[in-house]
Amino acid sequence: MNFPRLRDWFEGRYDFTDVRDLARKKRVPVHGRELWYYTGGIVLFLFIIQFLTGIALAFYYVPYFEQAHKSIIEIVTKLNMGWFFRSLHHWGAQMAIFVLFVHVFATLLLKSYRKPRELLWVSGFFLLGISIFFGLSGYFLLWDERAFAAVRVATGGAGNLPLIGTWVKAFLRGGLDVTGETLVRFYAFHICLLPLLTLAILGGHLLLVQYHGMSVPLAYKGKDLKDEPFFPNVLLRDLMIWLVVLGVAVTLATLLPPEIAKKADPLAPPPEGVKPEWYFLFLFQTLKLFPGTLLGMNGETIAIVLISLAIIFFFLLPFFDRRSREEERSPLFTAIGVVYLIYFIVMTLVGYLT
Amino acid sequence: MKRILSLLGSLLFTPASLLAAERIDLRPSSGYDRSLIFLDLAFFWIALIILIALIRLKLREIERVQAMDAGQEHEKIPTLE
Repeated sequence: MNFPRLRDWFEGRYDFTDVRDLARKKRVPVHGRELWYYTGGIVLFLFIIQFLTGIALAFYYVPYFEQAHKSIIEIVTKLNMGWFFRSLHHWGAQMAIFVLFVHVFATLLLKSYRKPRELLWVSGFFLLGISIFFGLSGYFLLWDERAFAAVRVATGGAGNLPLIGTWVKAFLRGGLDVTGETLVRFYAFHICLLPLLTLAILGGHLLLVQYHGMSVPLAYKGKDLKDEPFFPNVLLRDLMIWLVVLGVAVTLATLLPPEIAKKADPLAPPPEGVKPEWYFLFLFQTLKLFPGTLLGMNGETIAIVLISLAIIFFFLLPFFDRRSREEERSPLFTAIGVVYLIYFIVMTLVGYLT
Repeated sequence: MKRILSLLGSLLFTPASLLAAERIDLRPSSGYDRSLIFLDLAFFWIALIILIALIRLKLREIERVQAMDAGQEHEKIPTLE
């Protein structure tokens, strides 16, 4: 497919020389760990799936507490392919968050955050936070008893933050407790605020990737590395991986459609054995480690403060890692990254299995 | 007989839980629809594999041309134009 007349029409009106030059000149280093380069592209592809399936679902979802649960059941049982779009949206979200975690930890352990790419780390970290909030807000839109309990616990936990906790909790809930107001608020976050933030930050992230080029791991520094053009070599390889990812997402969506529990009743006690989504399990499990009262203070508040400090430290790692900034190996920060990774995996598994 | 009695017993003693169990079909439930879905999934995977094989062939051809032209006449390297 060449469409020469269409191309001539555009070229007669717009100058694409710069874009074409950029496409020709963009090259990607070839080395043993280039596999990790593809995780960012996979997340981008999954975000596109999420946008498309999310738009389809938004046509039929009713964000009002009396109809929300019923509208989801109607999407699943009455609409043509509705069950598939909902299931694909669910599995797309799970996979996007999983690959995003892989991308973040790969960036951390390969020290791709080092100078001059600190802002790439910062924007990526915000994208991870936004994706997790996407997951929580989307889960709540189900308006079933499990989602209701999970959001009550999550927003309650945010309420334990010192100084700003009460305000954050009231802002998220739209009142003192989780109610229909919270549903409307989470719907607004999920389909308006978070997509806008994602587009803005993702745009900046991609621009920074173009500006800085791909990072080469320190282990390959000084070696005579080959490189290859991004267009078309890497893009075609990206396409192949995206097709596999699409296949996995469609298979999971077809074989394992997500459950819908009973409609939420704000006055009923939370169901027994309720657990948050897998990406919150490590936080949930950490909270369980703390007693109700510690040193005369609320144990949950202490836990939330310590978790927040650990997350802030994680976020600021590129700014502490001076040796990487000087293009030297920094085993201490590799060890810190490994500790974070092991803690995350172990606590998630313990939370899942217990 | 024992099974029938235990079934009757469960009907008598746990009617509330039976009434509460509202089953939602998370995907089409009839056997015909299900088999059609699995057939579509198989076709989908076959199509994906063919597409991936074609892209791989295209990529190999591009790499072969690039290897021949390495260091010379860059304008001849095929791009996505």
